Amino acid sequence: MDRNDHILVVDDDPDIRNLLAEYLGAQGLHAACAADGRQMRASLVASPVHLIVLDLMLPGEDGLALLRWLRDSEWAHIPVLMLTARGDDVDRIIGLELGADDYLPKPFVPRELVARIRAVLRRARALPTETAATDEAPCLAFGAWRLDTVGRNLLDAQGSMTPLSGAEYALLRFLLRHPQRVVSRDQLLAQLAGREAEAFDRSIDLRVSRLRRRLGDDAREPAYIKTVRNEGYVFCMEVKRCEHGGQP
Amino acid sequence: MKLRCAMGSLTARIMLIIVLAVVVIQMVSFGLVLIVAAKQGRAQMYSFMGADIAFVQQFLGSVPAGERQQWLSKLDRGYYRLMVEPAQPPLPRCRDSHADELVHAMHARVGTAVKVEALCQQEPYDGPRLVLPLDAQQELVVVFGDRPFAPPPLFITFGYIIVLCALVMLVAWYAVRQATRPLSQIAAAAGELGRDLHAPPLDESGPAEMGRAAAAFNAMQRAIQQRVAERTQILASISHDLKTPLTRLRLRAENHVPPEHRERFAQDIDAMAALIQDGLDYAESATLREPRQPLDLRQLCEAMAEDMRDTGLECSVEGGTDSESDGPVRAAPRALRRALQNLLDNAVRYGQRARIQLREDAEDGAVLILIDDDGPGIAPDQLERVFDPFLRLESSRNRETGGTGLGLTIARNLLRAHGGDVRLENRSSTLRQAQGPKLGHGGLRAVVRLPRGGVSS
Repeated sequence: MDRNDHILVVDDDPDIRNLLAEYLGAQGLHAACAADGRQMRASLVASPVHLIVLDLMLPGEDGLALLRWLRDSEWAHIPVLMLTARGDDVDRIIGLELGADDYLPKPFVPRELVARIRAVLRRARALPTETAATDEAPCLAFGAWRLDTVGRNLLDAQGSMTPLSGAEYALLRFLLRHPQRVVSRDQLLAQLAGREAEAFDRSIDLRVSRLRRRLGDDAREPAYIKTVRNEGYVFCMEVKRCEHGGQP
Repeated sequence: MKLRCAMGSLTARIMLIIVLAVVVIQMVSFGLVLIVAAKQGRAQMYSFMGADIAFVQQFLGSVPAGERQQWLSKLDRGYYRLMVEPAQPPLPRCRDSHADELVHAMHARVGTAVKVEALCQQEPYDGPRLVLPLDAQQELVVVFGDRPFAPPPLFITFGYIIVLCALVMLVAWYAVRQATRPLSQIAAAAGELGRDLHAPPLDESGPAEMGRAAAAFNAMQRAIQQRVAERTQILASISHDLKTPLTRLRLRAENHVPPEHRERFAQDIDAMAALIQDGLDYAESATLREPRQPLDLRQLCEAMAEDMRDTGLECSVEGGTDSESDGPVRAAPRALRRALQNLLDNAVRYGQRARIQLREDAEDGAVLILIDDDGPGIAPDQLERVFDPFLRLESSRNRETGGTGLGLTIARNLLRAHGGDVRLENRSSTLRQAQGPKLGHGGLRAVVRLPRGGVSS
């Protein structure tokens, strides 16, 4: 994918812009730069862009305004990775509501940014654009549960919280991204292994059974995650977007 | 201890003052009234008695000596006993105040011409007597009982005081409670302010002084809020403004630093980034910046333990899943996770592994989270000091272990903002004591106390 992937970096700080472009180039990605909204539009017109790295804090039109504009434009399908210096959840929620595909707070580790860029690109390729509705939302509802993708917690109907471990969240997130479709153990393992460099010593089945327990799912009569013999798992519930943090 | 505590309260003190004042005033006025009334009553009675006895003496004196005994029973009206006795040689005078008073009253009534003596040394003694000569052979003896209008017996006096005290205490307790209630509210608000800087302001109505105190308190709360907000804002601004240069630095290190130095660069930048983040977290840790919501603590601990295991660290949750400590707590999820994460990080950093246990405090139903490690422990006099910001015990701990020295401070602040707390203690394991009396013996234990926050299990 690499050399053909064109990344557009939109940041008002010239040093960061150029250093980032240089770094992405060294990592095998093709990067262009824009200092503000005007230059961003010019770049979009001038050459194809596969992903935009968008700084939230920009003079004039800020990152959120640009994101909103982008989602209503002919380039609506281009995935966006937001950068912000504020660690606030609020930015992240608004960013995801407006359709950002991922989010990274400054000061980011460059290697992590590249990993995220690659993950977003991979996801964008794997999914038809129509199903992007549930791709990145701050809140996803299924069955009796809601998943808060910002705080990474499960909420039941009463608003009581069930915290998830990182691996459980990643597993559930992947299943929710592919509802009513069989996903293989290898696919799941690739997801989890890609999340963290450390080796996963326990099997996927153990992870799934733990997740079932968290969801209150019965392994013999599962309502959420069904085992498909010799193939993998299928998430059987319908998944919808929901208002973030809204108590029923 | 409990009594001293109770007596230390303002209510008790004011009550004591009121009760003492009322009882003393009551006793003094009661006593004075009693003395004055008794004196008047006695004067009247003695005057009557004097006249009566003078009449009996005159009458008996006019009756032949042989008939005097018969008349006695007719003259007896039951107030005192009359006797006719053979005349005796004069006995020593009596110093009985009761008899003296009676003699004076008789003299005042019937003139000093009448001869009357008070006696009080006869055997056996049956109270003071008056002796009035009838003629050369006989004399009239008047025996009267106790002094009239004497002070009431002691037990009645005490009973009266006790009943009085009880009544006054009851009224005083109610009145003082009413008067000091606003003060208690201010005290409660001050306590709440210590935990939550953004607690709702006090009601400024009520008695004028209390209203002023409440207004002053509210002004103070606003001032503290403003100061804290300013300091947090300064720290946040510094932290924020350092993020862009740090991002540049990271990119420069990746792009331009020779590979052999890159790792060292990255480590220094990571340390700076951690310090900036911890400094900001510390500034913000005094108050909860997210809403509290019901949260399953056991699931949180299990999720965190799994995350630790996934990064190759030893961490486990012990105990059954159906213990009393289960059930939701109301907590700010990110803050609580951060606080527990700091404690777990400490446990694995200095004690190789972390073991989590959940318990319930039988007294108030608060949840106790115990985090044990297998490290060397901490000297007892350092157990509290390690919560001071930027304090690291380099003497007993490895310098390579890193950390900003703010982790425990942040954890404690966040837990206190929840109305809970955390303290450290050395576990004294009986298993290990056999191996020698080394410092720390059984590793370190962090005890987290978390009130359920209004959610019943």
